[in-house]
Amino acid sequence: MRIKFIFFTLLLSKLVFAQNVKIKVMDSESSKAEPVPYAHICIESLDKQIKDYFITDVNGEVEIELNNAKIISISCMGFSPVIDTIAPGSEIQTFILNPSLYELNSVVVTGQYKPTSADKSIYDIKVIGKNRIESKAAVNLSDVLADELGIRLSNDPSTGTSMSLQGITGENIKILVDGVPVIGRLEGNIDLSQLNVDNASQIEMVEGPMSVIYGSNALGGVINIITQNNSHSKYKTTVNSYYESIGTYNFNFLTSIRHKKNNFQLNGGRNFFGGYSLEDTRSKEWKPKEQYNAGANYHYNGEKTKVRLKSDYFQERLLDRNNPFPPYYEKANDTWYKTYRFNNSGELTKIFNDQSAFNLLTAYSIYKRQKQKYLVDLTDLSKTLTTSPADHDTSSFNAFVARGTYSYTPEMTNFSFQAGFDINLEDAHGKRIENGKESIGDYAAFISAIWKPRENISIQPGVRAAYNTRYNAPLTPSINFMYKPGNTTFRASYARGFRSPSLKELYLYFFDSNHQVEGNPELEAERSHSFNASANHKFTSGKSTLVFNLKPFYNTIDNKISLVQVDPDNLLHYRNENTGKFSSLGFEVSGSLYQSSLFNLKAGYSLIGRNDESYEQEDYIFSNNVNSSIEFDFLKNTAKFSVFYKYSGKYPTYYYNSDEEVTIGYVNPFHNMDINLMKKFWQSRLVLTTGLKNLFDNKEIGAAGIGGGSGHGGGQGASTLVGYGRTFYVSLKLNFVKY
Amino acid sequence: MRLLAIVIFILFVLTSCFEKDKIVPPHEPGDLKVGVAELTETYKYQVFYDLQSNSTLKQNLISEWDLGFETSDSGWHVILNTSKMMLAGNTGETDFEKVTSKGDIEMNFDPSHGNLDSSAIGNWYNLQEELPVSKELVYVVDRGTDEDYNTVGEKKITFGFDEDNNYKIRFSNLDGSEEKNMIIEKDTSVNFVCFSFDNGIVEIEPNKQNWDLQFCKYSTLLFTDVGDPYPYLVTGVLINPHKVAAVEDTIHAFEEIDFAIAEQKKLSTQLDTIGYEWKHYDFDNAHYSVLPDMIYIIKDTEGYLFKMRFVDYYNETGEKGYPTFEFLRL
Repeated sequence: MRIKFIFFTLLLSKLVFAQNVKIKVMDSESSKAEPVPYAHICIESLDKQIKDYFITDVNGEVEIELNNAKIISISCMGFSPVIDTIAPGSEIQTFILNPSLYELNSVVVTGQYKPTSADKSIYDIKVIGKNRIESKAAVNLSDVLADELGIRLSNDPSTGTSMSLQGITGENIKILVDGVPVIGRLEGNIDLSQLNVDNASQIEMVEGPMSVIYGSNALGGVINIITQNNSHSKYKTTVNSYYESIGTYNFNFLTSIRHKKNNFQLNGGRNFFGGYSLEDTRSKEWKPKEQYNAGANYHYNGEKTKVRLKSDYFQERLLDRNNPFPPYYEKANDTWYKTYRFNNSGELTKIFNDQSAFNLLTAYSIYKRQKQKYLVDLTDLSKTLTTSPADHDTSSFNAFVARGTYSYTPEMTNFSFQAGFDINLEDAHGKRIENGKESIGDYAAFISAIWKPRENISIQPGVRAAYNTRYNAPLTPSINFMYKPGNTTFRASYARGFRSPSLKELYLYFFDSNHQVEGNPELEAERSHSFNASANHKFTSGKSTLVFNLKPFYNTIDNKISLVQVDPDNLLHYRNENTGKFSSLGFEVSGSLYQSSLFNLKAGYSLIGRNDESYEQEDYIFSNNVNSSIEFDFLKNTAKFSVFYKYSGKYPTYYYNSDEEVTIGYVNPFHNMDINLMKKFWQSRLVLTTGLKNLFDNKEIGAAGIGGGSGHGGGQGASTLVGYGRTFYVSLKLNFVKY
Repeated sequence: MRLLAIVIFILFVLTSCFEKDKIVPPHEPGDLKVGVAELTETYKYQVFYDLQSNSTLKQNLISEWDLGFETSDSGWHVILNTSKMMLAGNTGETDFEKVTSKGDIEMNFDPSHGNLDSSAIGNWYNLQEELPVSKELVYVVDRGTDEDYNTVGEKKITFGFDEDNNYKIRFSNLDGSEEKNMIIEKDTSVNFVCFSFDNGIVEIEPNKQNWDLQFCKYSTLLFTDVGDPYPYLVTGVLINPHKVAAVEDTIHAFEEIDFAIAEQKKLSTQLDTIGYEWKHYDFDNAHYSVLPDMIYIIKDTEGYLFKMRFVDYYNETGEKGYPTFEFLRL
């Protein structure tokens, strides 16, 4: 009896002090409201000592035990997070999540004083979020950028995929991973297909120069890949495998463990592509390649102190096989190109108070590329390393970067500033570098300030002063302006850019009986002026938002460096020269319609004109492209259908014809479309994505105009590789998460 | 657990490796002979080849000689060593001392077809009643480059005769230093007596009755798309016009060419009949491919007929400069 009584009392006390509360998460207050499944909920004690994590079910509900008032924070992809308090009381408590327009509301870091929402940033930053990356089933950066507006990719069988942004190519586009510059350029370009986006949380893109903060190579723009940082779960493992019918087999994993403010993460993967040729030959237009990547990182995410240590390793083996030699077809060559990247970085952020913070980023990157040629005896498959010195080459680059910034950003005043330093040291080794080894150093200090004469006007002047070990680096100024009356945002910027020639451009030395390519130590640095503007208007009505964007731009680069033929009679001898002025101008116009977070329709048009003085032509040559995409969620947010479309207009290029006269040739226009269908199973633990890529079956795109001509680079009559035809893919992703 | 099993299964299925090559059965060599001229990667040798014995009779570094003096009874032509990209020009001057630079005189290459009248030095003498008389002209000779592509320098030279109609030459540096005089006698066992500015007469060519083909670099005139000539160094085969004549056949398959077909062919003794165009440089793969459809019929003075084609340009370690050919006596 006594025991029974105690039990009853206990039961009663539980009923009184620990109430079961059903939390319901909805996407709006209206009658058409839908529940939000799989939202993350964190219940924190008021003293922030105890944290519990939950996740809503398919009906947007979760039941928790509550004995006193606590802090609740709810977050879900596609919605703005909510922080509130929750106290025992009614048994069902409903919270409303407002849809966030991912690209607009996402927090950006590139070039910012502190993490800022993209629509409040003084730079016009394009954000490609995790959602969009996943919808595209993108594996590497080139997959992500392929159908973006204003970007044109080109493919080289052995040096990979390169890009142009606002008509500016190669050396002038800076690519960063978490703020660390990616090194290892081949003919000026970074191979975008070597940059894995499997663990990217978003990609931030700024068009126009960011030379004040990022220095050299940032004339055309900056692309910053931001990697994931697990902040929700105690434990998380993601395993992703991808198969594409052309012969692509990828496998990637990521696992992270969080303990209080410490987060450890490991990731790795293998991407394999079997190669493709238009005809079934031993030699492939698209070379087979195998990539491995591995990474480890540690975050300490304190209130005032944040630390990140990262180490990433990448290797690629690309096999260039040629056709067997006549007459007996018993012998052939195998050339292996091996690329290694090893990046290590450490970042420290110290927040002193609400007003100021210090950030220090240091990184050491190693890049190595090796070429090895074998003679294969096809009668017994024995391989012999060839003895000719020209068949083998190893070049390596090491870069050290240190960037420190101090930001002063008081909430209440109309003035804030950032000051910092940026040190970039690079050395190059290899027999194709004159003297075998060369180095260059750049030491810079920069300062910028934001002045807000009125609440909705920001003006940001900035300047960078640098000491370069080889160049007289000039002062590089910039000014940015933003005016934000209501739902409209106007931005305008002018920036000066400076790029010192790369070590390869200066000291490349590659002479054999078939090549005579030399650097030029006399090169002048490139200098640019860049004008960018944008107008952005947002119409909102109920759950729908329409965003309209217009962006004109004008860039001009003086002393543009190009590889030119030295002697008209010698088709092999090339040298880097300053060839004069290069300009690009154009505009981009786009519209996006968001229907809550479930439906999103985008369309855009871009026109880019280029003018290259080295061809002694007055006129701009114009090219355009159109892109459009639909992303549509259904089955209560557990399935998604998306279509990505891009039209690349007729693309003109100057070239020298056989009479050594400048002529315009065209690469024909082409359409590209990818269709994707994603379905989540078992509460998002299994995500199956499947689709068709390259629906229009593009392989080679012909070039119009006059064929033939001397060896003056691309665009001459010959066709351009744009794809390997229509393919089918399936991707399977497993998530093991513990909150 | 079942999920894990599915994943592991999928991972096994979804993986692949670099494709293995298919094994090709080796060809049957038959009665064919295979020869190799080992010019080496930088083409530093000139190789004299004999088809009958299928062997290299002799080889020399390209820098071993500068000028070749004709040995036939009725000719006194002087040729340049074209492997070195040599040039020569007529100053129009007869006073040896007066020439101190090449000035703006026209410098020429020897043509690769071997017609001696159009050689760079050309007709430096007149024939008067079948006897040669020197025009006493001073020539400037650019010695081109050595095996390592280093330029060797320039000389001035004038040609004359002694009483036995041997060559009598006088040469020096352009500034007049290192002046020498020398008599060069005709040695009829060779086509040309070879001479080096540094070492005088040098033995280069084997007996002209014995060798058939010379493998080497040589300069030839190529033409731009608009027809302007420009000199270019190529690597190929020059024939011994004293012993063999040859012709190219691109109509018949190698296998079907027999004595009867070969016999019908009109042959030529032009030096570069075989030439260099039996190979093709593939820029994409940075590789020389031989063109086995280019077949050469060679006839020697003994009346033997050969068919020949190139099968490789690389040695077994993948080093270029080893033209490999197969041939059959018909």
